[in-house]
Amino acid sequence: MKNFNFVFILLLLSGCGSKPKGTINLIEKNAVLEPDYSGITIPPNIAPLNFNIKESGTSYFVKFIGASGPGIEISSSNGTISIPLSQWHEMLQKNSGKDIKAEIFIRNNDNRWSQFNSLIVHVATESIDPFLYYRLVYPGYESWKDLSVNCRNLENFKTTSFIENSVVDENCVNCHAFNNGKTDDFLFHMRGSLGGTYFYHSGKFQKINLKTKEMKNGAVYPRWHPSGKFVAFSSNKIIQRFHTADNKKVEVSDLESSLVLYDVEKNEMRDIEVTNRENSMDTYPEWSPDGKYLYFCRAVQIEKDFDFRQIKYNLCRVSFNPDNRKFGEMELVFDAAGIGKSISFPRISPNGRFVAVTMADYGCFPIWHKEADIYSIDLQNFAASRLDLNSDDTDSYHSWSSNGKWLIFSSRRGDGLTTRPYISYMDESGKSSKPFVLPQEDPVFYRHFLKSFNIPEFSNFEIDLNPGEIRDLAKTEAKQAKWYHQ
Amino acid sequence: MQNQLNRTKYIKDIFLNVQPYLIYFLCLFIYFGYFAAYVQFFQEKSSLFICSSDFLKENLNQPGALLIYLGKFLTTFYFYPLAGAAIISAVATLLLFTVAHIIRNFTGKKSFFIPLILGSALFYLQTDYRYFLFNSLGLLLQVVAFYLHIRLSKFTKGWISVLISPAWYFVSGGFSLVFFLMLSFGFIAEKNRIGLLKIIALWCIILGTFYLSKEYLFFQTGKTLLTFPYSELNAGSQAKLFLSVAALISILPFIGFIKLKIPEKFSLSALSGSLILSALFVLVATAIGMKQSDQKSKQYFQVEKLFYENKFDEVVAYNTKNKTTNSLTLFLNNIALCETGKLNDLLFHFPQSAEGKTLFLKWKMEEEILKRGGYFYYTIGMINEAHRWAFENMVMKGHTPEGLKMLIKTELVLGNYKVASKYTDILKQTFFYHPQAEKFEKLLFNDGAINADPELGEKRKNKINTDFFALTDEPLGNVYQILVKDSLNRKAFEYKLAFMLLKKDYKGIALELPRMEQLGYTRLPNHIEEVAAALTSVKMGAPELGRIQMNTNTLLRWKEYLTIFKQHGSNAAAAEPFVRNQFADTFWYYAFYR
Repeated sequence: MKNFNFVFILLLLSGCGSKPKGTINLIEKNAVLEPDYSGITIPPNIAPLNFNIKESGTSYFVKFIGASGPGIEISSSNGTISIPLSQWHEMLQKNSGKDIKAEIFIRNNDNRWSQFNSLIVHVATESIDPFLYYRLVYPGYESWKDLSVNCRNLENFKTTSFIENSVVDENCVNCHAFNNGKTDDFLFHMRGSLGGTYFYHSGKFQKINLKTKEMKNGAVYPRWHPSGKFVAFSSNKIIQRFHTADNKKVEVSDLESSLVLYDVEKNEMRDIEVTNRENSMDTYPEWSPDGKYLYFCRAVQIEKDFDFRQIKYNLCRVSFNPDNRKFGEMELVFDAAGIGKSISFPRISPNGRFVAVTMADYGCFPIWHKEADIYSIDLQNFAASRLDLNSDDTDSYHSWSSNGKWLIFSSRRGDGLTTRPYISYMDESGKSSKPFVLPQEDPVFYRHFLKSFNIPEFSNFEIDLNPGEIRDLAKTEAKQAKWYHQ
Repeated sequence: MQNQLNRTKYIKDIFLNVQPYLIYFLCLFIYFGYFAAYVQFFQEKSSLFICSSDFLKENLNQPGALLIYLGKFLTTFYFYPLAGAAIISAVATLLLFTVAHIIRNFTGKKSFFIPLILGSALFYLQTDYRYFLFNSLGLLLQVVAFYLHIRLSKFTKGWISVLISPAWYFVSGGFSLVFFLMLSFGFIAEKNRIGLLKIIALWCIILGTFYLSKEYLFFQTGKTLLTFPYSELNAGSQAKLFLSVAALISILPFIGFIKLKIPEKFSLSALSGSLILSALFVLVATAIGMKQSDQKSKQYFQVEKLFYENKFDEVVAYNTKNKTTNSLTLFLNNIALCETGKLNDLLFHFPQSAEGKTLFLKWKMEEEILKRGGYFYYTIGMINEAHRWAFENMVMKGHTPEGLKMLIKTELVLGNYKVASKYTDILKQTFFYHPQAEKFEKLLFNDGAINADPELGEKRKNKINTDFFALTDEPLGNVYQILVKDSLNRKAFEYKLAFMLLKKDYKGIALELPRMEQLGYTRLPNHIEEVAAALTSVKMGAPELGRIQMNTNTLLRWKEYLTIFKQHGSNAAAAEPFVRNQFADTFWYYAFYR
């Protein structure tokens, strides 16, 4: 009887074997994977690309093979392929600059194994910044609740929230900005009863009221000067309206906007005098990596009964001398209006060669525009090209890694509603590779998650602050910025 | 024989102990099951329990959140009002029963007075439909924990309770203060140095936990950590009474110190004590039930229930039978009238606000407005706007059954199937709404099925297709905008006419009459016909109606109205009682007297 049991268990185990054996049926098609990681280029330090095989079967087996070894074998009963962290990183390190292949096997109901086309992923030699900061927010209209700014370690799945609005009387937190990810200088705005702009600079954390009585509108979109001494802001009067028939939720427009410069060390605000500013709306400042130019988007100042579809922003720049804080003459960098487009979010690559921008049909808030795409403008010849990373849905807010090899951007391509962070490799000529969605431990995480990943920004630093410190600072009185009279 | 006698006495004792609580349970069950089922209805519609690990994780984010989770879990069974009544009654009864045992443990005697007070207070609190279950549940957990502490302290000497206090704080949040106070008073009652040591240890651990929670774990403010999940709003704005109940429970261990010498002649036998307590429960429950029975709310929630079930004819019939002046009830009733094509036939059969408050709700970031206002837009084909109201409510208040259904329906009508499928996935993970989720699921990515669906097909057909910006504070402005862009939107047109009726805008209505044939009307709605009849006798002359014929009966009635009016020397005040008698539900009466 004992022997019978033993044989029975053996038979049972052989039946349940999770490794392919016997004759394997080759299926010449790609298995449907969620997320789709086929044909992508990945950084050598990225977290495991866990995925789910969306093909019916009773068992799943994936064998990762690197040209320089070692391999990883993973069995699954439900199609979820969870890759062990240390083995994954070992494989990536050994195969930097090469391809890794994932052989995909599925056992059918009749107990026979099939093999699908292999998944090929290229491992770049250039690393990605290890941290990603983003805001988690419902892709809604006016209200907010349970809003947080999170820090995700891109080398694993560790996520910490460093700002939570539940600890600051549910005030709205927005526009977090880093100094190109190279230092731990950062800032964010808080709106509501504890309002102010929160600066972390040279290890000091302060709450500043940037709006002086001389300013018509508050400081909104920020960009740090590479020196860390200044922050350029746009000062905007913004309205948002809601479409009743178009398949976009919100239309955000500026009624007026101009640029201001904040001197972090002197706690001083001043106008940025740009040619013809009184007849223009200037917004989205961006510094060149050497700090000698300030780029921005400019549209003609709207009249009272404006047509929002006719507001088109061009890309302009002015020279800047950090020693005397003087700006030069304005130059038109790219005439987007001339091609019927409007530019937002200029972001210059760390080597200064390219500026990545979002172009939409109109306006300066393209995140709800399905036609919004990311373009690259070569600053050597000012030629613009639509990047290959784009989709049919909104592709918008983007950020460069500090080595300029990776571009992260927000895309609604998944469901048309929620934004997800996608990462793309950028080559020397400014071309993008097929992007991949930020890997999650649970590969079907995005399927159910209803919040958007907003303003993804790379950083090399994990900010040494916790929500408790922000809560304590929020309760204090904001320090008032001074106005510099020119 | 002796055994038999002992057994009978034992059963009798148990019966006498339990009987008052059974009576209390029955009182509550009858009240909530048959007289105030709207309490369960409101609470069930205010939250949604989702059977998923993500939902559990969301509810582990701060001390006390687990209590909310447990409350939502039990509240989901309110889907069946009798099950809800049983849960409410069981929680309150168990609380009383445990309290009685705790008192007995300290005094060695049965207590009648405190259970009576507590029972009455709990019943009173629960009669407010905004008093959520987790409040009573939170108190119940504290007394049960304390009772177990007493029972187990023979073996553990109370140290286990001290050691598990951080975990208990995590489970029940601010409510755990009740337990900690009970423990402390219990330790004081021990009247020895060890008791004092335990108090010191307990409060050191609690303060340590509190500090760690504030600075390193949850980062919330001290006030939140101290009170959550209690909030005045979720206790039906009955802070004083609720806190008094919590305070009374907290000091239960002190009862042992109170030595009341009751004269022999006043002491009660077990039987009479039990009977008196039962009788008092019945009396108090009846008194509270009668005082707190809220007919207005009962009526409103019955209408809302029928409305959510799309039983629009029944909504109108119910409101016809049960007259109301509640503007929210009338708002839903007007939507039901519009959905059934009777808005301008029966508008004045119900009281109306001359400012239009019964026709539409203005945008306001308040749950009561947000969760209902969007239905107006859904009816007139502003699907984006209906979706916006539902979405904003979801962001502010989390998922609710009807909110989620509205999100699904609007996304289906708009053809946003990928997003709709996310919402249907959530609805599928509920206990009682998965059949509806499955129904919606069949419509995903299937335009034909949606077009054929009686509700969604009609909404898709009626959906406005020319874009404009919603006027968030001006619902009427939106109606006008729709009609500028889509002159054949009959429901928007009905609302426009209804507002004109409310504003007594005869001239405006006269200008609209020629459009009615084009809009598919084969007859004039009653109130419009009343306006048309009135117009025939003023200088404006007979209105332009195309092929639509006026009902001669309406013209006769108008003459009759004028006759009565003239009989009283055209004195409006003198004629009013006679006119009201026959014409109270007409536009004519409204125009003259409202």
